[in-house]
Amino acid sequence: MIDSKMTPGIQTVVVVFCLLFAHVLQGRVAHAIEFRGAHPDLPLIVLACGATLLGGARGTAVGLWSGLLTASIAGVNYGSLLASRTIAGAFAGNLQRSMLRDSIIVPPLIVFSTTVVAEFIYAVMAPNAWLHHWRLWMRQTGGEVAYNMVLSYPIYFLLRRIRIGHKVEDPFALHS
Amino acid sequence: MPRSGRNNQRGIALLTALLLCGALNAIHHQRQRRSLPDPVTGVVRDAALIPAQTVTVQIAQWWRLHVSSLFAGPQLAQRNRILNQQVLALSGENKQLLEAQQENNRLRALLDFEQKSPRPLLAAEVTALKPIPHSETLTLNRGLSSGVKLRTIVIAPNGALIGQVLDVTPRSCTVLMMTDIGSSVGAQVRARNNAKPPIGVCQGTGDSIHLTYLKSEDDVRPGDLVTTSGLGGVFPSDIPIGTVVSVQNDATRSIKTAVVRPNAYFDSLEEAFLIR
Repeated sequence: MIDSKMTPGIQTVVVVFCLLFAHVLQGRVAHAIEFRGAHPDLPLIVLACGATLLGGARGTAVGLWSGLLTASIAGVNYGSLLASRTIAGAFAGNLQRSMLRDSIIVPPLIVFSTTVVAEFIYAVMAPNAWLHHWRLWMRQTGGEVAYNMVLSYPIYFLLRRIRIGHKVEDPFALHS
Repeated sequence: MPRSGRNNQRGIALLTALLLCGALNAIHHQRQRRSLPDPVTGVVRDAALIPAQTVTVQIAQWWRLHVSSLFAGPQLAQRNRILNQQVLALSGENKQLLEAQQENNRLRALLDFEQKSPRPLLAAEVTALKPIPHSETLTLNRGLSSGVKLRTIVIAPNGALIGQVLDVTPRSCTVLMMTDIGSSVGAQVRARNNAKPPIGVCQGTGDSIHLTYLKSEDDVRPGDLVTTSGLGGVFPSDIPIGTVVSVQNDATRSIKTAVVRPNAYFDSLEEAFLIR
């Protein structure tokens, strides 16, 4: 177990830049790995992992930042995207770090729950986005959840490698 | 910090964030109602996202030009040969067309016809393609400073319709693509034998386009070209949209719907043109 040398403030700034990078990658890469209309939501994966590792109020703050980036680039359903990402960040931040120790099931679990929370809030706040096309919506959301869970491993691992979170353990037992 | 103190801190943070969300949403909608750009969105997008996206676009272009091209030598040579032959054939054709154009201009001048000027186009780079799930949008690196306005029409390099500008900031704009479920355009099928062209509405379905509200007697067949009709007043007429793939009759047989394959390659767009 290694103590992170970065202060919580610097860790938050690192996650903020990771979210920006995830938004850039989303617009360049995600459509290329699209499958039957479903593609991963890279910013949401980074938000879920980053907010959980940062915890509490900082998770809410990065959620708001992620929501602002997503809503700014979307052009549609501004308020719904902003609120859903903020609440998702708060939700992920409140997943108790002390209870969720690094383990092989943690990354997909937190990404699954955060994605479901974000999409549920978005669906409630913007019913126009799915009401007349609920089959397509379900197919896309199902694909997105699956994609996000798979991609949660490398992103969680990367965030842990750059010492985000209070203590760096060995989630994949690489050093034991 | 004791547990109750931490919980209070989290609650206050969430409440503050939600109040901020409400305020930002109110500003956004207030500005949008007056057709003005939202300053917060503008700063976030133009100061943070667009520069980062532009850098990645340039890196991708550099990679394609200097690294990927090294591995595509033989194919490039063969393609170059084919293109050279095409250039020769097209040069001859172009010469004939220029002569025909000159004659056309002379005859129009004699008849005092009004000259139809081509629509001025503005080239733009695609900085993000489908950046959020459940929404078919793209971001271009042109905005208010280049004269882009809301509902400006966007076409692909091959002339096919992409969609219209949905949101604009000083240095960028978001385009709602034709394939989005919220997108609809007045359309017509290219008529054959001087008949009246069948008209309908092209609606996005998330991954393709459906031409709806066609009359049961309309002669629409697979392979027919679908263009904008210009009837809605937003899109100019005769911009190619796509090609009819199949035609389905409604259960009541009073209307029919055609599945249209878009002419624009939505999944590999690198550049686009805005019609000013």
